[in-house]
Amino acid sequence: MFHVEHFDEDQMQTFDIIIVGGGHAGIEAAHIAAQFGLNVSIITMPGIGLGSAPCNPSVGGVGKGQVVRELDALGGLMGILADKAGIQFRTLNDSKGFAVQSSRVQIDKDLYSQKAEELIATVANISVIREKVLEIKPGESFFEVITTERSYRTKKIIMTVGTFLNGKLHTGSHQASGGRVDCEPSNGLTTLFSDIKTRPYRFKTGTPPRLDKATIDYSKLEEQPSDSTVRNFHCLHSPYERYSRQVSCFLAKTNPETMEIIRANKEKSPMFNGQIKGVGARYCPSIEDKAYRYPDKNIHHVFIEPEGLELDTMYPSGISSSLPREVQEMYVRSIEGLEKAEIKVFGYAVEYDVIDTTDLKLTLEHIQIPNLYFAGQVNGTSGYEEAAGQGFIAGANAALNLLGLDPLIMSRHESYIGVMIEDLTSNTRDEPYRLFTARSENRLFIREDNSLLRMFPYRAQFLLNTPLDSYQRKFLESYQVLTDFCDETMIPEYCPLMSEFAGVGELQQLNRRMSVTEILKQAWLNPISTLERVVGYHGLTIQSDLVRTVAISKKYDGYIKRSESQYEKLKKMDGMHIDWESIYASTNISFECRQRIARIRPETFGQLKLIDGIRPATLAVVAAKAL
Amino acid sequence: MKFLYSEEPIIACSTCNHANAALAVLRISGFRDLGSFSPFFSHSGPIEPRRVYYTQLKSSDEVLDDVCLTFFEGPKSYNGENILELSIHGNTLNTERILKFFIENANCRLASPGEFTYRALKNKKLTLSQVEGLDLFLNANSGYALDQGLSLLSGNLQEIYSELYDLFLKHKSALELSIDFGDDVGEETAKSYFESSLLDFKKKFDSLHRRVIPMDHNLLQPEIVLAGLPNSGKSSLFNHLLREERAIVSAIAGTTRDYLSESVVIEGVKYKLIDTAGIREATDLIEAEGIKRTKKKMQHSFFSILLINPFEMREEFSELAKLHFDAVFFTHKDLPGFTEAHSQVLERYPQFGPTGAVDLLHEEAVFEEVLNQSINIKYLDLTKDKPILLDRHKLLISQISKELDNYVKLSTCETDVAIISHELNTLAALLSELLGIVSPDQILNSIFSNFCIGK
Repeated sequence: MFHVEHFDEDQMQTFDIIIVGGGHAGIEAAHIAAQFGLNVSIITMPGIGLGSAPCNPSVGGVGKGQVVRELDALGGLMGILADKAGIQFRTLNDSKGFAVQSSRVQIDKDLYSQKAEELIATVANISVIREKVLEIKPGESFFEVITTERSYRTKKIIMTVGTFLNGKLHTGSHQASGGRVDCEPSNGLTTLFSDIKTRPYRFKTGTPPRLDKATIDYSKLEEQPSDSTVRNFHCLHSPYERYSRQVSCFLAKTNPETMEIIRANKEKSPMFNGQIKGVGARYCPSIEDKAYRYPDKNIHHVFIEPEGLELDTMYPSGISSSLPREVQEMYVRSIEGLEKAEIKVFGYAVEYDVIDTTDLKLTLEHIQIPNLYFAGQVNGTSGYEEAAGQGFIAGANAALNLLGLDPLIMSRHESYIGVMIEDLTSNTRDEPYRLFTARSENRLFIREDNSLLRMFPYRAQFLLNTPLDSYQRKFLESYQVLTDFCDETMIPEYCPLMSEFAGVGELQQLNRRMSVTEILKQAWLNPISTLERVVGYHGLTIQSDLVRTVAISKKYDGYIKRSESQYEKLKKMDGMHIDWESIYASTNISFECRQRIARIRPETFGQLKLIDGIRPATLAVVAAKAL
Repeated sequence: MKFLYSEEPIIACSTCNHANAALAVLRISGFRDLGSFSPFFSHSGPIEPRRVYYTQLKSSDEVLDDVCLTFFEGPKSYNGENILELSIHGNTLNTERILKFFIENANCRLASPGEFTYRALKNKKLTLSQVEGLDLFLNANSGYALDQGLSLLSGNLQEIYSELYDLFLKHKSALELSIDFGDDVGEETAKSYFESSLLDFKKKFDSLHRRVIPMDHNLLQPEIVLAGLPNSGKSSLFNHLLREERAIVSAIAGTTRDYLSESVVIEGVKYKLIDTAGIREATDLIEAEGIKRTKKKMQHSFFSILLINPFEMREEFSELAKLHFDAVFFTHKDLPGFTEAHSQVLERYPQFGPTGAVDLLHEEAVFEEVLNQSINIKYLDLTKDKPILLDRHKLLISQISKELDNYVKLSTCETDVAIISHELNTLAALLSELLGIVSPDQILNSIFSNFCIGK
């Protein structure tokens, strides 16, 4: 234990909220809490910039793009920063339907962090303190935070410590303590807090080697230029303006030789020779995972992504590894186009402590220790977007609670952030958690295009009056006007528009009078260009974002209504109270299922369903009781 | 099954058929302490679970019966509760007296029908499907129904549903793979997973769907319907098949007003034999109602027999002749002039020739064999594909079939994957009714066990 120096109470600096950690979760938490006029501090490790990106240099992605836009509509930072530092924009799932389309932006990671620093610096009531936290002591009405330099007092504390708790890095047999490369770790939870239970196991994540930009033969790779039609994340930014020079990403592929090298060195991989005990995510596999788990597959995509305009490194996405340096060099150079690639920073795996998120409320406050919040990777999630989303929830709730306002609880039916928070708090995970669209039951509704509409009621709850709020109110009003226009405007069958909209074949003819809404639902029509045309035909000028939102909403309207009625039915079933003790005692259910049930103690059928690895047979047994 | 559920111990006679027998078995379920029963038995030592004890049942000093007692200790019992099983002497008075004794002295209440099994369901000793199987097994009318009941009880059909569900999850994960990991696996691979997994699911489902045969052949309680004009000999055949004088046989047409039904066992299958009212001009209301019922009965019958008395043909026979019959027989062959009358009928109704002409008085053995054979052949034919007997399952499988057809059509013409996936939810809901309920994590788990994806 550390020697604790006691300062006089008057000497101790006091805050409303202290956030430990200045990553993506930390800055969102601090920023939103500060909006409420509270006295906020970020205490972060010396030498690391705010909002740094230690892994892939991108923001957004399938499901994650939605989170960034949700955050943006709520008043978060991530969208603003990504736009400012964005150097390549792309829409994923472009051809697969509007609901699953997501934006992803490659960021200049130095620029991103620099913008984060600048933005936080403009907020007067956030103090950034660059010291290492040694211990946190809960008191009567205050926490005492003891750093290497001094002590602070705070009413609320938000832990956004990422991978730093007891962090340990692995590259081959080489091991070092640290939260990430060249950074020392923070103490373990057990030292920081003596009365918080940590999980019985640790999580692991990895990062690929970084390649020297100048040593790659781009002529052998497939180029992916930036897409100028992707809308910026921040709703107040001009939709398609770019704030940085745009560059390309490149696609490379592994080959049998690459995989053979990795397979031949299996015993040198810390993940497979037992050196690493932590559990990694199956959906974010290292190249070793891919080589050993899928021995028949030799061709894997490797996206070569720039880490910044001025930085001389490229990030090869898809080949994260903790193999020894010489093996990393060998397999990288076996890839076409990377034959002469020089590695600037070697890949490594990091192991770290995570907390049991079932001990957290939907506000991310700890159930047993009031006024203590956890957000980000320390909660066992992966990804900057997930971290930012949780940081926002924790920061907003800490502030709302101090002000005596209603908590911010987001429904999983209305947002990916809600999906994530509910998944985390209802379930003990045994691998890092990442958002997918498949995790949502209401995917047709929680889209990027309508995030303003979905977030408006939550944002309104803050009772703030910023340019964002007035923009949202105006947007909502105009949305209603355009929606009414679509419902009420009838287009007669002889209108020239109708022949324009006709498709091929008899079934695709519009030979009767129809409302605009009805026309937008026709399967063969692109609703956006159709509505644009209708609006133009009527001599109206309407903001493109608005047209997009209304057109897509109309397209999915019927489906969403149907899924809502299904959801209602499911909710009824999900709300059914179950007696987990009797399920646990049952001899008719598999041992593993019973173990999980005993750990989570589900109170309702819905919670039981959400438990990882609960078999259909178990659900059938329990559901039978309801009939 | 709805019970006013209360925790108290229940008692019932598990073998009771309200007739005297050598033995009757009583079951008491749901008591906490076996010791509370010890004053009632002469046996004094400890009672170990699953051992049989021969002992006397006593009311104070009076011996009520000599019984064999077996204790099944929960949760290792049929329904998970403590169960005491008593084999007593099966005189109905004795049974009644002992039931009453326990109700009055041991704080038991008479069980509602099915309550032992309901408790098994509640205590998760049986799944719904197993309960359905048990019900089928206990009430089976044929060896086939017995087999299917047993198969459900042992979870065999459930196993098939499970496999189907797994294939469904594979398909759903293939779809989710293309949405959430399209970049990692590549479009081509994702598409081929999607198509092949749909094909696998459809193949498995089709083999299940073939086991759902149209509802009108009610195999759970198959009925044999005797139809014909009044005085065509239906009641004679009815009685003959039952070998007892049940129906009123008389020479006056229209004696059988409504219909009579009795059970008859043919080649190990229990049928309900139904003698309908004759069809004639609806001069009185009861007869008219009878005719209506005949037609209705015909629609739901498993096997229908038309009897024709060629000497008493009436105009309304043309109504009857429109219906489909499994077997047609001419009666009154023993009367003079039969051959002429027979050919006259065939001239007008050629669809009934060549058919057997029956003299029930003289050819009964041969006739019965022919009839039984054709009934049995039809039964074997209908059960050879192992049809599913339970209405709930049949209905769900038919619904799934319809939804699956729609889905296959949609998946070929719709480009919006989110909509395709949305439509798949309807199928998922039906499938989960057959089994469990889909959670996204099951799908993700399935993705990771089958596909290679990267960041």
